[in-house]
Amino acid sequence: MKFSDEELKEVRELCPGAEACEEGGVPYILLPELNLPDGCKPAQVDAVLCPTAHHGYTSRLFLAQRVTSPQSRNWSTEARILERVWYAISWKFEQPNLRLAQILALQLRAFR
Amino acid sequence: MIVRGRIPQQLYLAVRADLARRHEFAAERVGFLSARFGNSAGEERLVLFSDYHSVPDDQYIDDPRSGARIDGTAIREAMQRVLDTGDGLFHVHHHAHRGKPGFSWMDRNETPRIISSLQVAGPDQAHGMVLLSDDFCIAHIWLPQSDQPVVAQRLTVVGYPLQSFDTEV
Amino acid sequence: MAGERFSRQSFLGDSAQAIIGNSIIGLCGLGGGGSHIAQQLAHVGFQHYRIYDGDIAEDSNLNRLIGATVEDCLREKRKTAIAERTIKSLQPDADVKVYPCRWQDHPEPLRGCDLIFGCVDGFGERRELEASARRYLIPLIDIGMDVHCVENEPPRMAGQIILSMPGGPCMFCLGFLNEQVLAREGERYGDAGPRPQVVWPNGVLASTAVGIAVDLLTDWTRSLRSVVYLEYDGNRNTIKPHPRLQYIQVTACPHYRAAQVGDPVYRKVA
Repeated sequence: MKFSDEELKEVRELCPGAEACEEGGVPYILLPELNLPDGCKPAQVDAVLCPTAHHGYTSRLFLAQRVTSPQSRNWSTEARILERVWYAISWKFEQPNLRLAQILALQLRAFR
Repeated sequence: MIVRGRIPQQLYLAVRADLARRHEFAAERVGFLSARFGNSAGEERLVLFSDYHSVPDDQYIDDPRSGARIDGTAIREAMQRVLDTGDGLFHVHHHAHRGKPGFSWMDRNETPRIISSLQVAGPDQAHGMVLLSDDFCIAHIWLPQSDQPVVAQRLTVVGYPLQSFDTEV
Repeated sequence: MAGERFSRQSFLGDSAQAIIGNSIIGLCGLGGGGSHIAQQLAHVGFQHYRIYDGDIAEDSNLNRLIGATVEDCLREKRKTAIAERTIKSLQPDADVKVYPCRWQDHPEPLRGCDLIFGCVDGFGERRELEASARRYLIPLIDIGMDVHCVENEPPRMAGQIILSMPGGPCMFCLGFLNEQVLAREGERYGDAGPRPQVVWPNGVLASTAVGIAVDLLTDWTRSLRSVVYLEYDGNRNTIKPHPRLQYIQVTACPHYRAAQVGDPVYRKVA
């Protein structure tokens, strides 16, 4: 998946330190100190967004730690990406032709 | 501090092939290997070679006292490469004999000046010099912020077969 | 440890025993496959090991865990301790670094290895181990087996041995890993149940893997020159090159590129 610099800039408006990277042919967006929705503890956490298919999910948001959110979530996955361990909840949605920032926003909706 | 180097076999063979080409007046050729630092949080540091850059013929200086002397343009281009890629760079050349090679007096005095320039361009990377013989390979590595090299304990050519060159440190 | 000990394997070459003795071997997973490999490496004369497994020996492991005893299970001995004991019983002076955890929890020593054996569960963990091995330019020999049960048919036992060489075809290039198998594994999360495992296929796979490692290091056959992807058919007792190999024309792996070696480097978004 190729995304434009414009899309990456949109992500940076949500997370100023966003950086793009790749592993195993899969693109990732590293999101340092990503702000989580209100009510999450902690409120900020390092994260990595996989905007493409990942182990049965159309996209995936991995967090550096399991966080608590207003609704409890099923933390189903522990994955090693870019030499770091990450955690993800089971959260699926359709994402036809969404831009990166939209994918991130929909992923974050799970933590409201 | 233990430092080891690894180079893919295909890259290693490409370096050897390039350095074996005859030059109009230089007795030997030199080149630059790009390298990334690895395992920076571990006890054993790794230098992982990823690319090779040949020095163009017209960037050699005709100097009978030296086997191969390169000009300022070659060094500026190397520094620019460090800036552009964020990679470390290793000066590499070949001594035509079998067995473990040793850096010459000239190598030990001249090449570190090039390393200093590379360190200015990329202070957070490992830079250094690699020396090949016909059947062996050694490396001196300047770790980030260091003005003295460490000797690579092992250089491994990663391929079929797996070939390791150990240096007693 | 010279003298008679290795006289029967002198055909490997004059410098073979020194090469074997100096090589640092990583072993991820010390269950049915890894325990066999640890034992065989010690017989061959390997002296430097970094072994990983977070599990303890249980009664259900005794049908295949090489070196384990009933008492080990009663005492809840760690699989790493059992493997270390097996290695040391053959190579008392061996340097065995023991990590009673998953390799992911303490990966730094693994990066210092010259060669890694992957005896891990599942496709996802294989992807992770190969990604790390590629990043640090380490050849990886993966083994694994499974038994598939289909109604009204005999169980089908199959396995694989893959030598993943940095720069060459990876498990994705070989078609062993793909998004479909990773997705299926993801869907089965938490519902896998105990997977069938027996001693003899693990022995076949482990022996073949050790043979590949010795050849890779010593070059005694002078014929190992490209990717290894072998399929094991446990019903027919055969090992042969995977048929997919003849259709693979990968010269440079597009998944793990040369520019991605070393500690991860991120590209700042402009």
